[in-house]
Amino acid sequence: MAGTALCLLASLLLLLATPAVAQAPIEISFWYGVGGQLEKVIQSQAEKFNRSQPGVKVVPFYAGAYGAGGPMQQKLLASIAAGSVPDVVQLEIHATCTFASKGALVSLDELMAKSRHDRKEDFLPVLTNTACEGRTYGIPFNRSVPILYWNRDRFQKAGITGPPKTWAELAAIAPKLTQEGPGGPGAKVFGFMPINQWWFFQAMTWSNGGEMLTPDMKRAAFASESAVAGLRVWGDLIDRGHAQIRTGPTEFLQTIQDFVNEKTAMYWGSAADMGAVAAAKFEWRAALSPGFEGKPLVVPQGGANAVIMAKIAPERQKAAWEFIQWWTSPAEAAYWSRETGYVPVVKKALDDPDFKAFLKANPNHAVPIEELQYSRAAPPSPKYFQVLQLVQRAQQNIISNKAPALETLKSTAQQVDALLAAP
Amino acid sequence: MAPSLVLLGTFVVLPVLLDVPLSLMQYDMIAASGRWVGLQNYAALAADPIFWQAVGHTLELALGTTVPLLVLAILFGLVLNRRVRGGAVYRTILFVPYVIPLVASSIAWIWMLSSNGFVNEVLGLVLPVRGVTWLDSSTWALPGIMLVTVWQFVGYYTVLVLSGLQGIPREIEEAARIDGAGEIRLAWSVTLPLLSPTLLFCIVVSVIASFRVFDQIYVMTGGGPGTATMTLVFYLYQQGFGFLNTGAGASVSVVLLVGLMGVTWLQLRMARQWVTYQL
Amino acid sequence: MAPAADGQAVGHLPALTGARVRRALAAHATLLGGALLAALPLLWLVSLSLQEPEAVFRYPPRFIPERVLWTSYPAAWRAQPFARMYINSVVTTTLIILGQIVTSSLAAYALTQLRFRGRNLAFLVIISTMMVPIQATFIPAYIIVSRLHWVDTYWALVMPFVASGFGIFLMRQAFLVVPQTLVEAARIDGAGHRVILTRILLPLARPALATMAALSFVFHYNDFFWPLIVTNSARVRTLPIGLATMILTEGAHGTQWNQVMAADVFVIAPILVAFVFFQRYLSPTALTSGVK
Repeated sequence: MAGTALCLLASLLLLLATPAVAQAPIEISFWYGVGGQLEKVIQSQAEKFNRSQPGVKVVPFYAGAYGAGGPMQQKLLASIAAGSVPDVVQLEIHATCTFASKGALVSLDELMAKSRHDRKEDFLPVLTNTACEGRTYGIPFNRSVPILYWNRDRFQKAGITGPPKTWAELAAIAPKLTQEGPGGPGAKVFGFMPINQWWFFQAMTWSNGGEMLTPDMKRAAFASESAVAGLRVWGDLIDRGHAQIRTGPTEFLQTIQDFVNEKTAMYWGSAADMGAVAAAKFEWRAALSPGFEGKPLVVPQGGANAVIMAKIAPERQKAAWEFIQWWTSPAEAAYWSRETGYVPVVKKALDDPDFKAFLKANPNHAVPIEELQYSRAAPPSPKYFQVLQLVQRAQQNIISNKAPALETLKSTAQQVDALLAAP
Repeated sequence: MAPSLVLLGTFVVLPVLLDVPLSLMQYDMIAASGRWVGLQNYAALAADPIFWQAVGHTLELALGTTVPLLVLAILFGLVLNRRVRGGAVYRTILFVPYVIPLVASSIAWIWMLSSNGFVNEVLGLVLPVRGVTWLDSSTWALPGIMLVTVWQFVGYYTVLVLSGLQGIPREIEEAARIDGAGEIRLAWSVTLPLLSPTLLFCIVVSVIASFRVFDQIYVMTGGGPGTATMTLVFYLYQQGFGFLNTGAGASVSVVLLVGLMGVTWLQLRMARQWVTYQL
Repeated sequence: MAPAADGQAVGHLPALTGARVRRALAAHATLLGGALLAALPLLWLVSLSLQEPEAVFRYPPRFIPERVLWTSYPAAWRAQPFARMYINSVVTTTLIILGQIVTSSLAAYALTQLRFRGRNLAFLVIISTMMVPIQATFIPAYIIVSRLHWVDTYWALVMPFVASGFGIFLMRQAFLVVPQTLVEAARIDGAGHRVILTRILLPLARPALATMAALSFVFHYNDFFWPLIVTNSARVRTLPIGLATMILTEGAHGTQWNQVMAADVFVIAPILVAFVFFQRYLSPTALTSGVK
């Protein structure tokens, strides 16, 4: 009798105790790689998620800039080597396949199929570079596309009605927008400023019918006339004094600022720049990237994926997936896009009434969404971002060091072939 | 003695020793697995023209920073040692470049080295040159890095030289002065020789530091334009973290270490000719 | 300037005045030139911190701000948990320096006063540790730190640096300059190792110690990469990480450069202030007191 009572008591206590234990939230670590204002949005969103449910607590950490070869990737490599990885990481899209092919990331296909709003069909065409060898490993976290920004006031003064649609048009109007300054070379206004990075080279190559790699991803395909054409336009404009490029790791930021400071009438940048460009004191517009006459516009995407690291415990994987799903729910996806300028990643975000109102009030933000239909994935080769670094070096040699374009690309192609051939 | 050895051993020597076998492998950092490939990494290095460019640039950087730094540090050190009024303030200001976070100073430098920037203006006053494009040009990018490095460290080496000068007993200088030695003679025959242990230190450290210059290149040129500012360390970084080629990165580390040891040993040997420890 | 300590016989004073003025002028001119070049970026830093964010990329740059905006300072302070980071930076750096003083003095003593086999080899090995760049060692070093469960703790920030090849080299050079006569005299008087080290060598090497402390302080205070790798939480993170987090390397929303500059200013201000006071320790010590 006493035994049974004791048993009942014990099981009652157990029952009471278990929910208390289960209520302690699982803490997962989230490494992100953006600073400044974006960091603030990430932090506040993480807090919002934590408050919204009791089961998972996300602890975000700034891990250094997420770009290729940057401090975050170095920190990630160190943590993998030491066997103690974070749970969720904001990983650059071109690096996703590199890590996935080595077994470092969890594959997400089944999770996506069972999800409420993260099935493949729920996404806008932003699932580029989330897959590797046929399986999906990342969910788009922040996505951008190349955008042409133009200074409407200056265009009107020069008698030009709209943005150029092709590179030929751009080359024709750039001279009209160039102004020698009254105060000497420091006050000159250029017609156009490109940014000499692989992202833009890819866009020009693809838009001209060229390719970066052969379809089997075993050889380089960019040592071609179609790839060179865009660089030639730039080189030509620079030689004639109608365009300028910045160099060095802050070239992107400097170019944006040059546009804001009216050092140039046009620049080709990223959808993500809109927040920074908004500081301009003149009428500015965003436009689709220029293409080539008679050929379809094809652009790459940029940004990072949210990935789940493979070597963590199953319940942490589950918790991580909860967070990712929340992040890409239509309302939150819309919020992120509004606050940052990155494109919203899920279709339903476009139905969000606040977002619709926002787009109406800010038509510039609708341009990248429109451009998404012209975007495509970069070759999902695990060695791709190494290829891109070699390509970027070639670009720098061609534009800054005046190396002959086709020969330089050819010798780089040889290096890429060797790289791809190595096991 | 023991504590130093243990700590240095664990945190520096051990990783370096790990680099040697690593350099003989093709190691995949993400999969944490590798296979032995013998001297293949070294062969690849020898065959890579960019590697040799990196070696050349590293040596140029060593020369181009150590010589100006030494000259300037001795100059400023001697002057400051005379207990000039406000010396402490000057010393602090000279030291400032070493203290400023590189991100902030690199923005200043990118402006100063731009085609119509401060440096070109000053040069234009002195020489009939105008508008060298510094960081954008393959000939002038490396000198630009040298300039920034010298600026950054001039206060550092001045402080070192100064501490060496102040270790020189005053009586020796007083004695020489009583004997009738003039300023220059004093500096040359008495001060400098007594300073030589410090100078040796500065030279050795400066060469070692120049081989390791990384941050300026990372922040200001990224190794470019093209490969104009590629040095051994940057090459190492690119191989190891850009291309994820850990074995190659490790082999560059080994080369760097061996090279530096050789250079340092050479310096220490030659030091016997000109360094005096006690008069 | 006390004439006697200067070693100039009083009788010479009038004859040297002209030369002295010229010398002083030359001295000031040199120093002023150097100081201006050195200070230029700092002045610009302060100036930028008081302007609008866009001023950073404006050309020609304006040194004197049109309107002085003090708002960047409080905004910058709130941008990151700087209060905690200050504590972390100062504490870890101080611990490192204390450790380095102890280990370097001991090692330098052994290298200069003791005779043992492999002394030169040990010195070479120690020097060679200065040559290895962090990119080559940080992954194995991180693995070690991780196995010791030091990740995200002060241990990881301090211990790898407590022994310093640079410090040992510097102290060795300083000890080598001390006349052996002094040391021998002390030994004859029956002094043991500890006494010789603490009463004779260290006081005479004070400038070197101070220098090592100053240089090491700056280096570790400004160290960004290693703390980034071994820490995750604000509890342990240091100032440079706070600075870096304020900078956006992508386009969106634009970095608030004036805040970044303001943060830079209040991060380095303590070092500069400390350095000015610290100067006293870089003064010479009279050697004569030892011999008597």
